[in-house]
Amino acid sequence: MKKIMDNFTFRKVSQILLKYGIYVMFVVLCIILSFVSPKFLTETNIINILLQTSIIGVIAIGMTFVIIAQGIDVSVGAILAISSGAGVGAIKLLGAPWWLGILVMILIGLIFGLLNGYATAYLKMPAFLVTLATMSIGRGLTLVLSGGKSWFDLPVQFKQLSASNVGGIPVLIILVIILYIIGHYVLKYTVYGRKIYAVGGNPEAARVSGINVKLIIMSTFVVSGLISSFAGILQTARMNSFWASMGTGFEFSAIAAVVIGGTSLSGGVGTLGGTFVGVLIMGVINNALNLWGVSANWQEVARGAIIFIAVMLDAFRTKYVAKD
Amino acid sequence: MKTNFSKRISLFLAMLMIFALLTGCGSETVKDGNSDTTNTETPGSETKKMILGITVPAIDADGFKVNVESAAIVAKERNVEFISFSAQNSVEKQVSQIEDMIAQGVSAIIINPTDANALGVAIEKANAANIPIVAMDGNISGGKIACLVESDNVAHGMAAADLMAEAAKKAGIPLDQLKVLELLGDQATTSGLERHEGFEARAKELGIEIVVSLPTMWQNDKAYAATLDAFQANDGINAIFEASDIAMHSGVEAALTQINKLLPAGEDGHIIITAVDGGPKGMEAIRNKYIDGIATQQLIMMGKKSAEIAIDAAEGKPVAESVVRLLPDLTFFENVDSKDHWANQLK
Repeated sequence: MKKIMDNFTFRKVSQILLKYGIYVMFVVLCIILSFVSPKFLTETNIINILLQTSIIGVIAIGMTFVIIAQGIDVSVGAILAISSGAGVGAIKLLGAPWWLGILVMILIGLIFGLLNGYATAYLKMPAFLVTLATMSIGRGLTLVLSGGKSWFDLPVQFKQLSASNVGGIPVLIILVIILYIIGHYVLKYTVYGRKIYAVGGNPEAARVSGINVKLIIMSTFVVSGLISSFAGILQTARMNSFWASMGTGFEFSAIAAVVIGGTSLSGGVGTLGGTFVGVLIMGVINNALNLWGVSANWQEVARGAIIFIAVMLDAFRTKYVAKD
Repeated sequence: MKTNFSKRISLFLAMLMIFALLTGCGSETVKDGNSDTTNTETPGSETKKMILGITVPAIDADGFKVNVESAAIVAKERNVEFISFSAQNSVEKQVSQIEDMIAQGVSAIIINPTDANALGVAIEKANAANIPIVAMDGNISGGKIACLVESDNVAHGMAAADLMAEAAKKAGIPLDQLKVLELLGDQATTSGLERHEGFEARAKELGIEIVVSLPTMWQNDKAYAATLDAFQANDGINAIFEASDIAMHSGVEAALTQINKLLPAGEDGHIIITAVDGGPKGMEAIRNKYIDGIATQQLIMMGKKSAEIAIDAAEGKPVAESVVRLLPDLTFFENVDSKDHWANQLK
């Protein structure tokens, strides 16, 4: 009896740790860093971290939707670039007003999202390869459009977006937080959100219970495409320019953040709160490496190690939690 | 009926994707629209006209465009037919382009390598066909190369340190009070490594302190993060060295704006910035006095020199030097509008 109890408590504790481990890890990390560097836990630095992580943070929202529904989207960085390229190109080359440029960006995100979603859900093509292909298309089209050039001197509205503050907090950060709240609400409290979890958890069961599985899967890619183009708007505004290689490698940072945040690559499990913390963990580590002036090569090693540990935690979680 | 329709849509989309893939990443070669390949008749010329071929990683990108256009000018001057290819950043594509040129019987090939170590086999084929190769802006290992024409990256890094010292003098800051943030490129690339070595060595000679060197992997967003972090961690940074203004300056300006430190030269609190490359954004920043000086690459000279040497070699003339290293073209506010800077050649 005692043994069963022990076993029970052990499993309970480990489950809780595995479930909330990421939050615990984040808090511990921050406490350690604030002792090591007095510059870490200051208002400016917190704002710095939030600004630095804002773009990946936005992309990671869409990525969370996609991964919960058992998908993957490696085209997000390319969608960011092609949206920005098309929008800024419309402004610079065709003399479009700023709002039309932004509309073009959103439209491009929508088109890529629909293409990714339709191919994955309805044509049953593997998501990784579909989005790898659209990534290549997006990157290629970005070069075709821009001729590899960068564009600066954008309409003043872009700078206004990135430079404005509300009570000392940059609007960029506020926008990201609002997006997280909306995304969290959709996933957690709407029928649509529950359908995404159902589809990701067990597509067959979801289909039998009357959910339009294909439509749900496609919709997650559309969310990801739209969100990526929105990230493109923010990045363009923040840097006040477009350049052809923007967003390079963002797909893997976003996937890593989502997985660190506890969303399982096998689908059906995950929260946006976790993703938010996942993004912050990556951001805090990058920030700390820079604050200490750690050399380039070791920075790469450190980043790789963090992702490794996070995926290992994910594997444990699947092993122990899924047993129930 | 409905299923039939959706089947059709599926088929259509599938075909669309295949089409996009084929056109997007197909192995089609881009022939330079500007190159004039029409024969300007040479009276009494009995032999076939010589052909100079060039392949660069991305023909649309600003720097490569200037390279190719400058080479084309020389080819025209010397009455040589000129063909150009874009490898679209793919080693495989570049290899097949070189092979195509060999098959076509070109007289000489200029290669701006996508990868230093992966072109050996193609070069050997060109050697076997007795076609001289000029490597432009990057060495190629394997096979025999007539000449390497490149920017002296160490000298560019050194020049950026000199320009920084110059700007400090103007601002009345003693060199030993400079505190520099160094933004590195990618230390796995020759240009990234050598610019760093040059800058560091010269800074040491001049007694300039590099407070911290942070990686950017040639990415604006990483340069942005690194700049914010460096200013957060270190008090009193008053100068920045960017290993490339093209890859970093947008990020640096965004970060400095965020912390209210983006001020033009001459104003109190101006951060001295010097860089290497000299792209359009960097030129604009010099005009706005945010950047004090750039060690600009001599890309026009690079293209011309490569073409001259390649044509000489094809004509059987001996090649004097096996390596031509181009020194930086120093750019600052007073001479920023000069046509000698490659970025000013772009429209």
